[in-house]
Amino acid sequence: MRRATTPRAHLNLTDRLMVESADDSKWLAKNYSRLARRYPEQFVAVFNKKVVASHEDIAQLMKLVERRLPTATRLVSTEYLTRKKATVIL
Amino acid sequence: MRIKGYFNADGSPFVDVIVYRRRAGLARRISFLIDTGTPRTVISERDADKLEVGPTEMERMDAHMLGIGGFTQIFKLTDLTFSFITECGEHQREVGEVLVNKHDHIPEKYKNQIPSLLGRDVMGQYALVLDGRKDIVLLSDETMTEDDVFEENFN
Repeated sequence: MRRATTPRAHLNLTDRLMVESADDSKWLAKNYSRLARRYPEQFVAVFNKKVVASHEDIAQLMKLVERRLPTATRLVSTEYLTRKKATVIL
Repeated sequence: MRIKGYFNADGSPFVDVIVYRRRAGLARRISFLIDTGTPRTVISERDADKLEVGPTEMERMDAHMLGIGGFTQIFKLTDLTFSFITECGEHQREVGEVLVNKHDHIPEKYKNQIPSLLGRDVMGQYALVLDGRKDIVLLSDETMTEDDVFEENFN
């Protein structure tokens, strides 16, 4: 009897991590206001639609991410959250 | 091959790139604002910090560039590879020279909000589709002729 597999079962670790994180930046954008209330004036790191670390300095944030998600550090989305968001006009 | 982007909270189009620093052997995901008005791709200060670029690793450019907050100090990085996330996996492109923009007179809380910009030097290698009605931000290497575009939209 053929065993049922999920569509992601054939993917290697790198591809699977990429699929999981593909929409993280879009999720961050959609949830900006809610997250800015919880993490004001901080950078947050998001992986698989979850906040995995926060810090006011992005270099320190990435050190936390390296410790917590060593295999996925390069795929982690980040954003600076503020309740006084400036509109960037170019 | 299609590279999907997204609109951020204020409706600006962005695309994510995994930026590899070849000499440092380090990669980080950077969100780029798709800016058709910028000839050169620019990495902002906060994203240069995310990429752990030290001041000695950049070459100062003797050029005047007018950006947010007036004239800015410009540096360049020459060892970057951009990797776009596509439906077929990663699509890599070596980029010749990427600028890093440094602002001395902008408070940190504003500097942290300045995005990196995907300029026409990289974007021009692809077809760009932006459709706010259908929530579509797309870069594609598919060949499009003028006839394709007009047939699609006007017939």
